[in-house]
Amino acid sequence: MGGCNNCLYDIKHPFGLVVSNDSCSGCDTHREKYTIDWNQKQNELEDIVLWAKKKSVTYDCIVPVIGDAEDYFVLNKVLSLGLNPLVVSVNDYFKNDIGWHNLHQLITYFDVDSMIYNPDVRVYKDLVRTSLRKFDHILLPFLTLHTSFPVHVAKQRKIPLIVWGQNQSIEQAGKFSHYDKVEMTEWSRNEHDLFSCNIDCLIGSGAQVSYRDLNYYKYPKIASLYNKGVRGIYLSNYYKWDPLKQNHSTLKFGYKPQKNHSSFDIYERAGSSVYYQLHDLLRYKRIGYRKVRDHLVREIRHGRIDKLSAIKVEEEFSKSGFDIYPFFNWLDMSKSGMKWFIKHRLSNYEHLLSNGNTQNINLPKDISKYLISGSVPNKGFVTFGKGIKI
Amino acid sequence: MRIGSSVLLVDGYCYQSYGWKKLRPLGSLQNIINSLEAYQCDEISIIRPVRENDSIKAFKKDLVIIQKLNCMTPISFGGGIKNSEMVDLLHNLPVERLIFSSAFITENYKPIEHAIELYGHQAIQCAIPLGTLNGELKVFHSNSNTYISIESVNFDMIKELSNEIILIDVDNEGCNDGFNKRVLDCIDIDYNRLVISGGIGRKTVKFARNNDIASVMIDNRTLHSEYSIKEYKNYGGV
Repeated sequence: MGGCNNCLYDIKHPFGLVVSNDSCSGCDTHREKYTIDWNQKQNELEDIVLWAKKKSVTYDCIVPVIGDAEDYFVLNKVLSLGLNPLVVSVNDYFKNDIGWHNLHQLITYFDVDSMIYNPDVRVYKDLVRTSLRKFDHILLPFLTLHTSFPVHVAKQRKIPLIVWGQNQSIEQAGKFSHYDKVEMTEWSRNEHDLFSCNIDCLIGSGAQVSYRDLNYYKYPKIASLYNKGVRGIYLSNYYKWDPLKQNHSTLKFGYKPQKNHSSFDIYERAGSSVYYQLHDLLRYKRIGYRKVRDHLVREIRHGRIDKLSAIKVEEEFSKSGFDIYPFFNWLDMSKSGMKWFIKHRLSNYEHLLSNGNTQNINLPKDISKYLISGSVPNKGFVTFGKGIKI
Repeated sequence: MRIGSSVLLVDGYCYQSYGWKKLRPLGSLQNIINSLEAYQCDEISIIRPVRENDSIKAFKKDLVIIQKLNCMTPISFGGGIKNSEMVDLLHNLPVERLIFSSAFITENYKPIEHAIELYGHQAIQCAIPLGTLNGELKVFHSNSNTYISIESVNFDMIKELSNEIILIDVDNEGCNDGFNKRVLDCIDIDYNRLVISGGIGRKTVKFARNNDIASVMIDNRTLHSEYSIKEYKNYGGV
């Protein structure tokens, strides 16, 4: 019971992983994709669409977005199903100019109604500081909001359905079968999105913020969601999910990928100033590997790279450095504070604290055919998308 | 009728079982308990799916997790309770009922009688896992990881020593509404002392309610959708 013979994961995966007969639950579940009757799945999805349309009074569904390539794919599917969506986004204050372009392009290209929630920056920064200090994680406050705010909107506006893209716990660790058709739950949010660190863990001995500032950070009471008939589904339970191929297909909608030195995947989380920088470094510190491993495992499972080649590619990308200083500037941290943090919290990773690039990493043609040259951001940490700077 | 949920605990982490063959990871026990409580689950069975390689160290490790649980819902606990010393270790745990399986099957009654002395007869449940082997319904003996014939099990003693009997359809565990009603024929007992588990779906809940079965234990499916227990209760008219 150590690692999977097929992919690069072992049982220490943060979502939990079972390895039996040398194959992990993630690989076993991935194999279901080749035996599932996807036409039947399509019918099941259409039943849900009919249910939502019958129940809705204004919008049929909410599509929570961050402006990622996956959001383009999901929104395109939602519209082709005949649903009338409200696109809901939470500002993470970490977007660069590419991130804002992608969010605005998504809304304008598909011509959908949208709502962007800008949380109180003072409170948000306090929570990010605490999250960094307590859990070596800088995205927890955002993830907390991203997984609760759309649910609040659905409840308040009586929108019956929330449509998410992939269920990461299935795609990575195979925690459920596709046949289980798992839906959005508070339990899953706590277990997989927040790693059991809900908002209560970020206050008290941490951020000194008032409870009334945290309303949207808290998940609505599930009894009230039940009474309102709100449910959330994952499209990856109904389509044969293949992120690289799908994300490549969103280029025709005007999605702009970003040049990436930490992974070959130029699509996922393009437009973030931190995702492949301090966030990836902290992930490496917490769980022992970087995001590129998730991307490689996905490609191994889709048969586009073999395990040995994937190990070599991971080694190469693992040499790339991280530019963490812009984040600390955003956090208003003093130079001495930065030095203290690096000395005491990142001492084992100082050799990675440079914006070193990776070049000429050979990838199999089956992967490179989906890749183009990504854009380079002109400006990081753009607080608001339409020209206001505070 | 009570509607409960069963959770498998291995080395302090919870798993889901599919057909008694395949395990999938689930998550931390406290997170699961929190949600089941919010779903108004009537009872929670925490079961250690142990085989012959179980150890007292692993048993104690799981007890530490259970001891720390913050839970208002009645909990049943079982799996690997082989002797009276292990029963003594269960003292001060926040559990209402104890589940014995192999001890009943192998007629090892000492730990059961000791548990009755400590906790009372009402606290004893007997779990009988049943599966089909070569077309024949058989009892799964967890400790030896083998199937044995139904006739070799002393059901008279089970009826006498346990307050409730949990019949687990191992073939259909994790499957929606797959519960095989044939397992009910293996024992002649009032349904109001029976708990059924393995492949419980909404239709099975309705069937159990109509037949005055004491309780149903929904396995993997409770956490697959929000507030799922309420759905089962509404459908089953509970």
